[in-house]
Amino acid sequence: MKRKIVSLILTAVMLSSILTGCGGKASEGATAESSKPAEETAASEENAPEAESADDSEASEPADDLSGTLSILSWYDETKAAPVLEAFKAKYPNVTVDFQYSPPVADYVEKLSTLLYSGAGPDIFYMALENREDLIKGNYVEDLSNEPYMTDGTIPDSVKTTYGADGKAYSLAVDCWVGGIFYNKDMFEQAGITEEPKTWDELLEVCQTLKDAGIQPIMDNCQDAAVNFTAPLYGSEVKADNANIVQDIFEGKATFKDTWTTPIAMWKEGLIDNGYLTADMVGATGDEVVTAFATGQVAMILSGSWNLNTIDTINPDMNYKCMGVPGTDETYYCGAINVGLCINSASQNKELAKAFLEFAASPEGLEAQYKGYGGFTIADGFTPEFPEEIQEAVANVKAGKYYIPMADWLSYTESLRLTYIQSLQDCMVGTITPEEAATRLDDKLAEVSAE
Amino acid sequence: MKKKRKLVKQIQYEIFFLPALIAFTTFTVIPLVKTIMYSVTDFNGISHEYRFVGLKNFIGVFQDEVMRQALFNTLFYTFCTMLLINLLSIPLAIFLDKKTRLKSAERAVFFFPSIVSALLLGYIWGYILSPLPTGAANSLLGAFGVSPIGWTSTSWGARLCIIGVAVWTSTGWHATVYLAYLQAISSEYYEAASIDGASKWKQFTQITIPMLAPGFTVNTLLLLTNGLKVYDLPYALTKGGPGFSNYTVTQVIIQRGISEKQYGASTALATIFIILVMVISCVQFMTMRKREEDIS
Repeated sequence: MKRKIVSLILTAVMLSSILTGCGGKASEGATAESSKPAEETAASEENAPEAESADDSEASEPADDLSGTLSILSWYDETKAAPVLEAFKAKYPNVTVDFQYSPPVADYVEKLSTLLYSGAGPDIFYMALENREDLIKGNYVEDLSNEPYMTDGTIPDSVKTTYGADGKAYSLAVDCWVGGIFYNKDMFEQAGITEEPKTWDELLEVCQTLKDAGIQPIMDNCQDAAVNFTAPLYGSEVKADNANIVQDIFEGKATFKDTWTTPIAMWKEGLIDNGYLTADMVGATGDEVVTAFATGQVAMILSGSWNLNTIDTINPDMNYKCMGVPGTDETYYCGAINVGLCINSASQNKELAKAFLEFAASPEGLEAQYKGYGGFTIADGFTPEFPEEIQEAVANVKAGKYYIPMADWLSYTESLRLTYIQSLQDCMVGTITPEEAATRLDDKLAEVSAE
Repeated sequence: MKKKRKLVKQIQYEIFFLPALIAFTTFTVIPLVKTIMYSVTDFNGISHEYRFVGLKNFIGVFQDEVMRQALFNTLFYTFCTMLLINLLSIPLAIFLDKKTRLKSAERAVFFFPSIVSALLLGYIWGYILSPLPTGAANSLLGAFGVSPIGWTSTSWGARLCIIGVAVWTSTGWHATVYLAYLQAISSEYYEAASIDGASKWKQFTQITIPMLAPGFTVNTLLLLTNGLKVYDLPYALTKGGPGFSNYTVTQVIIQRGISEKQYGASTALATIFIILVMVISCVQFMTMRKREEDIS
């Protein structure tokens, strides 16, 4: 009998806890808007213009009108994302962010693809050059073309071109990275070099002068498709004369062989055949190259803005700067627009997702992203002070003097990127010629586009 | 009635088999069937729409230079590691079988490399074998006035470095397997052989080696299957480079499928590879078993 009473009490407790739990969940999931009494909602609609202007004047005031849970698959880890999430939480205290992180690039792209394919995609995620085509063609992303930040000039047109298709914009990218030749000013001075090289021939002369002075002139492991010599050379030698050349290649009117052989040959004949870059560098890791530069073993390396902190940590007193890769007439940099936020087209929380993106495009959101992610803000509304070493590079990238092939290869990006890197490495160790390296890209394009 | 009772009794035991069956079906059989299914389609991993393309993906495998190179690398790696590890681990096992004061410490030292993840070892060895003059091995050579060696900067250099590190990593582990079989050999055989005047070498070739035959079967089968599916060590050490000269089949499968979204081509290679591994393993296992029977 006792047992029965105890069981009955326990059952009652469990049932009541289940019911309470359900109630709690429901109220948590619903937006404040929907739970408002009808009269209150009508009143707030009538007062909409006033409310909007009040919002503008007090941008950093917490917004209580939204609540619920917003899921995000982040490209950046918890530490980097913390300033953004904290600032968003301060603005929308009733919104809970379900934060997930997957390390870029391959893991992130794979995890996102699997989630989207199985219909379990997060409300917000990132679009990168590597998954841009899949997301847009698969209709997984919401069109953002008519969002205020896209129409009022906050986001530059280059973002809409990079992460858009058919005149529509699908991603909110607010910053960029820059790269180029990082050179040691003291070593240049030691070798008697007083000016930065303005042309490709001058760069080769600089290399020879450094070599004659007993200084290792340059180092590159040729493992990065985004930061290498051939990409900016393609920008200055080919793209500058014909902006639509890549489109022509994809439409079969031109070939990679016709257009890529020149920059690859300039790099091979100028730097490798003259012994400034050597085949053994292919086996070096990126960290080794940066360490060699920061410890004064080499005068120049190809690098990106993400290595500024590493260099400063290894050698805080180092006197260096980032310059572009000079071509025949023009100087181009490495660089690209960073990954951008997207809204899942199948999201059940589009209102919250839109609020998050609007926040990300606002001055406070831009500042938080700069603080957390460290990219160079290109969106209008927040102008950070860039490190001295990179200031000129950022200005040039903003002016469009940069080239990254993956931004141009709108289709089969990853297949072409891998072939590009493999071919450059083979060219560097001397197993293939520049022409063969360029032809491999044509072969790859033919192979993947035939599928 | 009796039959029914027998059946119930049998089912009672079969229930214990069910969890393993469910796990095996979910994690092995279903993915395998799906792999074969996707290999005849143009599935890209992201779109729900895909078409049947027949044997096109299978033909593509043999036309693709990267896949051919990867197949060669994988078979070469498997053959070399299988041969070298077996050759080194038998004498090592005999050495570890000796009753010395430091027996446990010696065994621990040789077994240790196999505990650490291959990925981690790859990165550590990558630093040691860096082709730059600042790499650990080159710095050491430099101290003796030897010029830096390119180690991983050439195709064959990288290939040999990968095999060298794999042999260093696994020899201790496989020696432990041989050690277990060695310890099962009765000392009476050696005593009898000594009385008959057999030399140490004769004892080794006529007693030790034949008695190690089952261990040889186990080790060879493990080395064969592990070698054919190798991915982590070559990737961590050279990323498959220079170029694609050191890609392995698993790396191509992952790259084609996950990075390049060519699930059709990737699963076709995987299907061919599954069949190849099954055939090689079966032939090897049957040959070894027959050899064991002949010896006994």
